Amino acid sequence: MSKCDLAVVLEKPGGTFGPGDTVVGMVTVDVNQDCRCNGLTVTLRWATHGRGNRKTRTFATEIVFTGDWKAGEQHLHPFELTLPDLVSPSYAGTLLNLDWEVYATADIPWAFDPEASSRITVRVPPGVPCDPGPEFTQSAEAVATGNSAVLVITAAMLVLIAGVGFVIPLGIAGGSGPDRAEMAIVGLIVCGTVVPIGALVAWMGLRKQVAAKALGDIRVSGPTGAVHAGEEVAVTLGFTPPKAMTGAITATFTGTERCVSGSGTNKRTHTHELLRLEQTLRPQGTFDAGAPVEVTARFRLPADIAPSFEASENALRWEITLDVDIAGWPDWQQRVLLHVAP
Amino acid sequence: MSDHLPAFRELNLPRNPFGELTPDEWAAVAVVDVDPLVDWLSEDGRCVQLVGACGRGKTTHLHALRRALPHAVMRRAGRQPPGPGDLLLLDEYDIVGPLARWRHLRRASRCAVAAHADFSRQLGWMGWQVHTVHVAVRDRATIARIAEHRVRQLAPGPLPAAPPVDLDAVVDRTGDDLRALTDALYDAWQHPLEASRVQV
Repeated sequence: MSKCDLAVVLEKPGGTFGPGDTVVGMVTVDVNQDCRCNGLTVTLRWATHGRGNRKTRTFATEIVFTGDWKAGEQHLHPFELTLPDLVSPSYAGTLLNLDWEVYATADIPWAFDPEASSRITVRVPPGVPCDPGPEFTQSAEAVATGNSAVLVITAAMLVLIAGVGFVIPLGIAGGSGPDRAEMAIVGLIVCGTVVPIGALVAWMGLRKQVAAKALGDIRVSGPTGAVHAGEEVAVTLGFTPPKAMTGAITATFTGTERCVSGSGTNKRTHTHELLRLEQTLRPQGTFDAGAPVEVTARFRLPADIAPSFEASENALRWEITLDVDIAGWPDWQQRVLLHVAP
Repeated sequence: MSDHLPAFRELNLPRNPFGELTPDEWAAVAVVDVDPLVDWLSEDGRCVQLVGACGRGKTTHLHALRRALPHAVMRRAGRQPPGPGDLLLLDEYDIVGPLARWRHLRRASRCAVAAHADFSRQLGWMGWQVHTVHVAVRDRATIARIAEHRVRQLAPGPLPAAPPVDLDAVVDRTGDDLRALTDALYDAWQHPLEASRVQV
């Protein structure tokens, strides 16, 4: 039996709150055994749950009691905790859930600390700013197939290995007659394997830069602040190809829940697509050398769209991906991360 | 954005019982008997080795040991080793090389390690007395208890309706892979109750 049992009782059980609202309630303590409490703490926090590693973030804390309790007593400790003006609203998804709760725990020396919680719903009214999460950074980033520098260095090392494998059978490291012939075969096998792999790795690292070369000076502009449910969001792509090229331009608007579970070798990433809308901005055709191109993708956000959220290993991302499909050349892509609010 | 509630919300559970757990929750739902291992670790110089494939319950054993031995320190290999004299619970022992393994264990007086292969010989060379447990769950009754514990953790009393999954069908597909079992049950509990007895 625990030394005491806690419960969180809210003035508005299961109530809905907004930014800046105050949550009023009390913590009830039923004492089973005499004990010392080094701090009965009540916090207002959100907690994620679902497929991703669990995260919490605390916004208000109150220590409502410190002292001794006697067996058989019941205590009631009132509290008032205020939500910040900028909050992430409650969210119930497929992989990701964000719940707000009032969480109470008692620090009991030499015993398991009892705890209790009571959930509340937090909503952000339309047009009111909302918090996209502690790790959100609005950005327009070129889609990369990996860390370019790492890939190029890896490719260089593979080519070096291939070089050594080729040099040895040429006799620089010694050997003669049948030994040299055998080493030459080994060297050719090494070169034949490693050089293509090295070339492929280098290509993956340089692909993005190569793709951009065909488009010349590239300009991408999109929303710089939050976009709201029901609004139209526009992203513009401009470029001036230095040489004539054939291609097509598309834009894709996606919403994705993305959660990471486990760690080390057990780490897994789970994704669930909420929405996908595609637009053809320029059908397959010819782009003249030196002729400026400018296209704009416009998407209307659904009225019930869930707001953006980004925390460690738990995210709900809304993005517009611009794709230029160039005939006979690597595709160019740029992803624009949106800050979607209610 | 669906209007249908997932089954766990319709059954008044605060979250999907088969979502990710905190370390304390993981220890609380463990269906493992670690008493013999606790007894084995009562003397310095002793090591428990938990060997098994991915998703068979090695980390669960470590969490249960941590709960039974509050002064033990649990680490994943590759992290900073703890101080001298500690009872060390080391997960993923085999993801680092021999030197790093030695560094992790050299200051521990007792330890439990989880690995995908048997390192009893190497541990013996390091001076440990090793007790090896091959971790796997193969009987359906235990698998059913594991699933039930996850639900009971969130709902100690009777549920208002039947859970939305045919557990036998799931186990037929996932076997003793507890991680795959959890994945399948998570998906099942995300469906609305009206689509109950989902065949997964």
